[in-house]
Amino acid sequence: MTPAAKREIKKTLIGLGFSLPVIVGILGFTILPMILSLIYSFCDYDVLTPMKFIGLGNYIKMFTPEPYGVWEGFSNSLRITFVYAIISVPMSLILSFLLAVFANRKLRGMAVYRVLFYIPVLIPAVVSALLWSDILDVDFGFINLLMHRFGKEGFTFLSSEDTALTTFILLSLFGIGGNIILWTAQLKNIPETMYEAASLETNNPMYKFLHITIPYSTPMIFYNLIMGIIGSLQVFGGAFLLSGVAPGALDFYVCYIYNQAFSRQSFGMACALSWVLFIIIGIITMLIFKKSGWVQYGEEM
Amino acid sequence: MKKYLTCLIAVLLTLGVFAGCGGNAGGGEKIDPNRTQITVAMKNDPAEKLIMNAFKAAFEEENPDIQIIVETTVGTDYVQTVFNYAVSEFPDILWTSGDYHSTVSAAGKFEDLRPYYDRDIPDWQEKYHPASMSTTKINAADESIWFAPRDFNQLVVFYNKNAFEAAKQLDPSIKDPNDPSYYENGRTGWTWAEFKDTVKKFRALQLAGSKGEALTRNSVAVLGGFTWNVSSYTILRGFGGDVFDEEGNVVMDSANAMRAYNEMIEFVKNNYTTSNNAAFNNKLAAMEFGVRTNVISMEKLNFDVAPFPIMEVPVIGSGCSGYAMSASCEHKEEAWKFLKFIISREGQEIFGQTKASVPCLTELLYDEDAAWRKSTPDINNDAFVARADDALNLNFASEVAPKNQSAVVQEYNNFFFSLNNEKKYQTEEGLASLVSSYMKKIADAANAA
Repeated sequence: MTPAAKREIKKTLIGLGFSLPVIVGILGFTILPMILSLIYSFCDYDVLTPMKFIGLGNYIKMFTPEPYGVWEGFSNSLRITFVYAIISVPMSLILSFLLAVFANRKLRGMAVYRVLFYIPVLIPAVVSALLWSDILDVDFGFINLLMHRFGKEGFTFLSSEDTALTTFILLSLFGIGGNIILWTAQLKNIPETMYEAASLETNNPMYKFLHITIPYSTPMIFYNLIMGIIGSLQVFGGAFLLSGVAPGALDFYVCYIYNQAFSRQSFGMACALSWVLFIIIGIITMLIFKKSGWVQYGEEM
Repeated sequence: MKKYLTCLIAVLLTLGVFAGCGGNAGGGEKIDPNRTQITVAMKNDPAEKLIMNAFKAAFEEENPDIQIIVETTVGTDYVQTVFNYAVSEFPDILWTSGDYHSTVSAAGKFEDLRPYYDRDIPDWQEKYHPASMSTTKINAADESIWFAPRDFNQLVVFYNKNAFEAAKQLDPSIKDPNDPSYYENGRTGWTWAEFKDTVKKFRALQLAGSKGEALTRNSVAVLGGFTWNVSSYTILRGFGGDVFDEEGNVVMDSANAMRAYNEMIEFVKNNYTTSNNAAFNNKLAAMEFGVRTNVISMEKLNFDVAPFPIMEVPVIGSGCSGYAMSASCEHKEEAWKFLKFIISREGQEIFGQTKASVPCLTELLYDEDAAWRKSTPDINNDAFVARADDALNLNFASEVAPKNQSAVVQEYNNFFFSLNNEKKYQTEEGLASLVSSYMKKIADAANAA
């Protein structure tokens, strides 16, 4: 073996050595659980007793009414999750974009606003959920106590199935600080010369916004759209903690999976539901990629 | 040198991937190779740690050949904890509660302790309270004992003494929940009607804008805990209703059950009660339905305790927790020795000192010198064991297939959440639709394939 080949092998081994933690992590904590969950999804498995192979039984049960299947719960959780995704994703996209445009302006004290926008992102979802549940408590919550003081009747917020989802969607907007940071980075990349050139034709800010700012931001719109949809279809922590008071109202798809596993002791069904979610997310992402002709990258402009 | 350092870093990084694996085994306690180890897992709760450390210290002193290794379970969700163990290995002894053990017991993961009781504890049927022992079974026909119960917990009424003193000044017709008149002429305590009368009088004072603990306008008369199954099932049964009949049909729409729901609705609509669990401890509720464990969190209150009101059907919800032995335990005799110690008079006295609960050893229930009574000398300890014969087993789903029991309980709890929180269900039509929808959900959960 030539010294050059030896050096190459050594370099490869060292590279592999340093990559090993990630490789082991992905194999052990992502690929292996995925394979196991796929196997479990074809079994009747409650962890406590030996699993039984039932073929497509769990997948068929999803579309079978109770008590022989889980259609009611499955379809209800899908409905809630899609309603949440359809409303919250565009809302957070538009609001975070507008706030980023505002935060990108060269005004005094703007850094303070940027920090204020980002602070809620630093609070873990679980802590945030507990804080909001206290603030929005029907009887003793800060907001309702204020309303009582002004002679108004308290609002039900998270404790009624009629208002819980709306409240949850509005609460999710407190986490848009992460998006704002990404938008800001994208907006800063728009060449100033574009605006200067446009100024030769018009001083209309809306024209510049529609013809320069938005087209240059489409890669980030595309990224935030995909990540937003995936995130909204996987809502769990906060919803799970806040779901106790209005049964069923915040029964998101992942909460339903958890429920199947730990309340119904049906791990096989939980795994099958997880795979269905994986497929749904895969299809939606693929469709968005296929229809991504509107995204304009720098080199295309 | 650089080469070795590189390898070392790579190995350490790889091992780091597994840093979070494993439970909280032993809390760092050294294993003594000359002793037999018994692992005991319990909830990660300060009161539970206090109790278990007290048991461990006394037991190890008497049995120097056995070492008790205490583990705390990850998280507070008992069902999840059990599954975590099921996919790896069960500890020798696991804390369990009467309402959740059935699934695990039916799957054969716990050891049947009945042969041990029969062999070593003569007359155990008389020694331990039947209400506690009944929760150790999967259903009424089950003869096994799936865990060793350690306590006897029944529903009581805690009340704020300062609030009652102030209220009596404002309205002399208000009587203390332990007023002697409730025990005259063979009576055994206040009735539901008398309790409700007290509640109404308190609410009137609160609405009049009185000052003082639990007397302000934003206070309520009682933290009823109607969304807590101990409270809701006691009231449901107290009015003569039930969830299932003897044939296993869901009968939540019976006339008596409807009366129970309407009673709860009246409490909610008139703001006699609240769903805020901290109301009593924050001096915003004059009374609270609770169990002995609540005493630990009431140290800053001037409180006392009264028996649960006597209802049409004189029942009082009761439950217990205890310790199950794993079926895969290698040292079963040593593990049983520890369990036997916990349920012995000595163990139950140690337990009583912690204030957390009432022992299940019947000879200690009424013993004035029992440690549990001495640990709280300033309150009416008799209330915790008053009408103990009326103790109601809360496992209303016990006749359902074990794997479906927790789903039934979940639907039952959801029903009472909706009943108490949703105004649209607090009308005649709304209530009827809620009852009908949950009867189907409970039946579906009970009969799930």
